[in-house]
Amino acid sequence: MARKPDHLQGSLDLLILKTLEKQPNHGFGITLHIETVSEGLLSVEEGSLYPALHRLERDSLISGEWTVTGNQRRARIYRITPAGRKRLAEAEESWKNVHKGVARILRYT
Amino acid sequence: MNDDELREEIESHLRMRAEHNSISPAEARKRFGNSTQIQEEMRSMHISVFADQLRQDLGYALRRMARQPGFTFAVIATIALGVGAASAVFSVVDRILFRSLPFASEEQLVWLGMTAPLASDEFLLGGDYFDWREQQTAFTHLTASAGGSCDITETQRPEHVRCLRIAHDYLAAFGIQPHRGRSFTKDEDRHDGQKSVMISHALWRTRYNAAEDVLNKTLEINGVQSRIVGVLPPDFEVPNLQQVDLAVPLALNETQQRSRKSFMMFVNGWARLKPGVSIDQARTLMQPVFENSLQYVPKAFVKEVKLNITSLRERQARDSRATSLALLGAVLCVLIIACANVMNLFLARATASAREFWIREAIGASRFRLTRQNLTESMLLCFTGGISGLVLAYWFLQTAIVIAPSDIPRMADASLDLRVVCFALVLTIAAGFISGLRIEVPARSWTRPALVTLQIALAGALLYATALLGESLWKMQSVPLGVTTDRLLTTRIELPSRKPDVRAAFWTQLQQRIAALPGVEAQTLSDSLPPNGSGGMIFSRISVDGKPEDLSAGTGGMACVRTIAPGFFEALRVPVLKGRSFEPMEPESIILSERIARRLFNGSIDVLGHKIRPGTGETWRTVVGVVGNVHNKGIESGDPEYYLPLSRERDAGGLILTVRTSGEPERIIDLIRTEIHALDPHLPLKFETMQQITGKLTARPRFSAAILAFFSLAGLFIGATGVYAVVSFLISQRSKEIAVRMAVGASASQIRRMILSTSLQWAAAGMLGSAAVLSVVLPLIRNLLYRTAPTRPWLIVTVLVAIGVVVIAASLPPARRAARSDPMPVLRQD
Repeated sequence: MARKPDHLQGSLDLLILKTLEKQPNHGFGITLHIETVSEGLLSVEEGSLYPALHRLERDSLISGEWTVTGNQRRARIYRITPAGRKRLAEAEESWKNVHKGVARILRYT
Repeated sequence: MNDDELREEIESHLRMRAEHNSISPAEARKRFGNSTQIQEEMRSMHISVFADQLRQDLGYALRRMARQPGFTFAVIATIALGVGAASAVFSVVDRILFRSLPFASEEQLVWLGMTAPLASDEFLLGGDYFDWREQQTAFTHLTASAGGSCDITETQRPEHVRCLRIAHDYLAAFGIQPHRGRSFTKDEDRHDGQKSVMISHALWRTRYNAAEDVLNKTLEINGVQSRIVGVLPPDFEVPNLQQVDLAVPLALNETQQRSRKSFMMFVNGWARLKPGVSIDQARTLMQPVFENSLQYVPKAFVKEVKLNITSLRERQARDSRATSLALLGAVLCVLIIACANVMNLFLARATASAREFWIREAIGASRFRLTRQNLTESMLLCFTGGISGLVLAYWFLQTAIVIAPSDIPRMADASLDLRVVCFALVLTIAAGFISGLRIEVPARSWTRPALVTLQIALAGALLYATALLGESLWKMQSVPLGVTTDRLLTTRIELPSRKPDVRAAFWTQLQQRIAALPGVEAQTLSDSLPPNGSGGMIFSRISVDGKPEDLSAGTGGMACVRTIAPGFFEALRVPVLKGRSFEPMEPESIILSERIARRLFNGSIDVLGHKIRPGTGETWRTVVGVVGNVHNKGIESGDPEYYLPLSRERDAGGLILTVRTSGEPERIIDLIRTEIHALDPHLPLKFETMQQITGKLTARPRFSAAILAFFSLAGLFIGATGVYAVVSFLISQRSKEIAVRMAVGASASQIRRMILSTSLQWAAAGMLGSAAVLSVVLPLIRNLLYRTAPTRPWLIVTVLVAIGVVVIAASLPPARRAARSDPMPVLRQD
């Protein structure tokens, strides 16, 4: 039985949730968003995105739904759930803490 | 989320990527990575590992089951048979022994009365009933009933029905509410009260189409108009288990009964204990009341009369108890045999596939995973077996209901009991579970032979018990009843409402008409017919001329008295040993059976011409004949018997017409019916052949013997599969040893003998076990046996031989296979 993570697995989940917090999007849109916003600093390994999406969906942090996009294509659109928002807030907090901690250590040495 | 959707999602991503970066689809795909693997990963997010593994295990189990059809079949059949038989029998027995009676607070109800050698059941005399009712302090109600039959004498659809006479507070005492209308009032329960009647629910439906306006209609019963005041509830039943069509008020004449001078009515007494009063306390409380009644009992009999108060349930189950317990025991045996077999089969197989499991464990399978796989399989097998068992149980039960004799109470409405089914299922599944778990721990070497020995022991015990019952049944069926039973047709004719003169004329005309019919060899009338009796006379009240009366001797038991018309001994072919049979119009004569003659005249049957007075109120009669003994208590020979000629005074209103036919008795039924209806078109008639009547005597033992035979065969069969499985297993375990023996020159017959001797050792141990089981069981089933000693040497030998043959037959195929096998591949192994 898969273990339910009590904190987000790595940064990919955080990025996905953060992206979907603004607006629902499909997988490719999420990839694109992360690439453009991070100005190319972060690139998502496309292959690992989808298993992550489905895991988040299984854990009810996001929900996916087939819709037809502007140019008449079927795409699976994901949106963040209230549980996802809560988890995102916690993750952002812990990420900031980690970031702060690491920064302090870097400053100290 | 199915595979197509997963694929579509990836495809849509690739298309967007290709469009966005203006690259070829192939390039987009390359950039994406291994899409199959990713798809697999995505799917795994949706499937729980547990369910997935379960699916795997199930698939594996099904494949394994299909690969070993023999094993699969043996396990499923064993469980099905065990669960099926157990559930069916428990369901039947539960109804008889443990079900709740349809009476409010039934634990407070008791059957009370006096017992005496004169009567088989407890009884109360009318006078005592009124006294006890008045004087008792132990009960909230003390009520009475009397069974019997009566005729619905309406011109439309006359019917001979079963009548119950009940006191006005009978229903109240049992806590029974009428379905419609009301129970009887106190006034209606007086001998001069208004005639009223309650009808059974069944009669209400069949005769009145369940019409609501049936109340206050009249119904002519025995020629008297009676008002219908109520309808009995559908589940109404009488504690002594007769079916009832009508209930009428008991309506005893209290003054006359209390005077104890003339005719005294026999009734059944029932009572409801006051809250907090135990049966023992009730006995103590009733003792003085009972002793008060004893003053009316003739001095000679006082010490033979006892007070009896029994709880209703105990009293009711009395007759069926032995049979029920025997069935329970038998089914328990089969269940144990089945469980032992399931365990054995699993153990044998687990050891056989141990190597496979060790390899799988060595290459990394977790122990937990392996055990779970094994459990899945054993559970699947047990479950399948259990379901098949349910189907079998239903089928067994239907069969049992069809073949059961009608006098087994409440058999017809037995239905599968869920608790019982669950119990049996749990038991076998537990056996499967334990065996499934045992995979890792190799069973100790004695487990399997011990289980087989247990099976043989129980199967042997079952077989012996069945054989005993079979012999007892055979004895019962071949017991000489004193009459020739073939080609005899009988029907009871009831004329209670006619005047004695009319009746006498009727009987004379009837005999004339029947005698004139073609195909009638002989005919007669009598008030009862062997193997049953009706009237009884206290033996010590029979006086013989010149012999002083001896009142100190007690009752001397009962004598059976039968009232017969001329032609009785000829029709039934009872041998006339001395003198002759009755001739018409000789009311002052008497005929004795050999037994009573010898008892009255010190062993002599040369007693023609002696004077006998059968009972103090009777006339002195001359002995005109001595005849052979006949049965008057069913399968038991009964009481010594004498015969009185049918006369106007001795005609109680109903007689049995018996006809000896020259051909098949059934063929002449219509002719006889026509003749009787020519005399009275409204007489309800039911014909029975003598063989149908005697067949009923053994119906119950036949039923138990049939069921027990079925169980012992089932037990034997399951046991045989057990022996077969274990022998095969042991051979496979000893294959190296056998191969070595053969390689150094042992012959095939030596190998066979070696294997067979092992199984015979088990058989011998098993039979010792049988002896132990039987020593406990036999005293318990003694009551079921008729003139059969529990230890029958030739039966013991037969069972020993039978078990031996079965064990050898089950061990022979694997032994043969082993003896024929080529030792070389075995020796080269490893």
